[in-house]
Amino acid sequence: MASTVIGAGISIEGEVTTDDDLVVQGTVRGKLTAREGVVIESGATVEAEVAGAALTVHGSVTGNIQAADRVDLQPGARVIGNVRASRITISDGAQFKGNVDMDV
Amino acid sequence: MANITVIGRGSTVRGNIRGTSQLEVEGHVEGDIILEGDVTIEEHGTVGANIQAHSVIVRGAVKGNITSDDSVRLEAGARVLGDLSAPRIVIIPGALVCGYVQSGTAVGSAVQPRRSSAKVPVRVEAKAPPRAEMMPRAEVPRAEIPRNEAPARAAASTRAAPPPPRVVPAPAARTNGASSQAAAPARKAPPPPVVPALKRAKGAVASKIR
Repeated sequence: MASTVIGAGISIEGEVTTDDDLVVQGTVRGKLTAREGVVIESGATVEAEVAGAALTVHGSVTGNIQAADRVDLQPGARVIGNVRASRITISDGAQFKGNVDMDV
Repeated sequence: MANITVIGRGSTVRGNIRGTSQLEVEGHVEGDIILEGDVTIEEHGTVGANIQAHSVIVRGAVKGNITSDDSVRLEAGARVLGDLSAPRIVIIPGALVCGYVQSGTAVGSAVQPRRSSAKVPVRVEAKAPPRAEMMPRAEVPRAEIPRNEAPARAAASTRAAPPPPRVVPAPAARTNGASSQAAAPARKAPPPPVVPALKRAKGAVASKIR
């Protein structure tokens, strides 16, 4: 189990920083920073700048995404914002609007 | 983990947390927590703002006021710097509190001035069951008074301790023996008359001698 979970029904306005994994099932507005992986579950709403090592999106993200390792947009994901990562996958069924920068 | 929010040990939240689910804080939160669910501040958790929730359990540190619709429970190791306000308040031996504590139903009107100790006993007496629950635990922190005076005294105010719980240490220590309090002035009163009486008696004797 991930060390930090923002559960469904919770809304955070501000900055969330963690040294470990982060799972978002609720709502975050502001800024998300994780040292390890970040999972935005389906049903989650993130209106924030997101930074982490590896980012997996099932839910909705509005804001720029930066990942040290990779970004995976899963089916059902809805992302509006620029993505910066060395590896990125966009699955069939994911919605995405923004620039991609793959650090070539 | 159905609908539980966990702020893990390495995590920091700067900003407000609102919502309906259950919250466990093992990391650091710098912002108000307003929840309809239950909040637990775990052993390593720290919160630097006010907490308002259905019920609150503290095992870590809180610097801010805690308001609850149901109960506030400070477990061993809890450090709270702020006011407590809830229908039911439990403070376990080993918990530190520094602030105004108000239990009872009139939670909304918590505008009482701090340290108005007179209010506290009245409220707690009005509620028989919680008092019974709190009284036995009251014994242990009292024994701790010399070690950490301030929290213990603040804690004492919850349990209908004798009137002035936050005054100077010396009177507070005396009031702990509540029954002997009434007797003490009675004992003190006699001596002054005795001495003049003796003097007068001596004087009378002396005058008689002369």
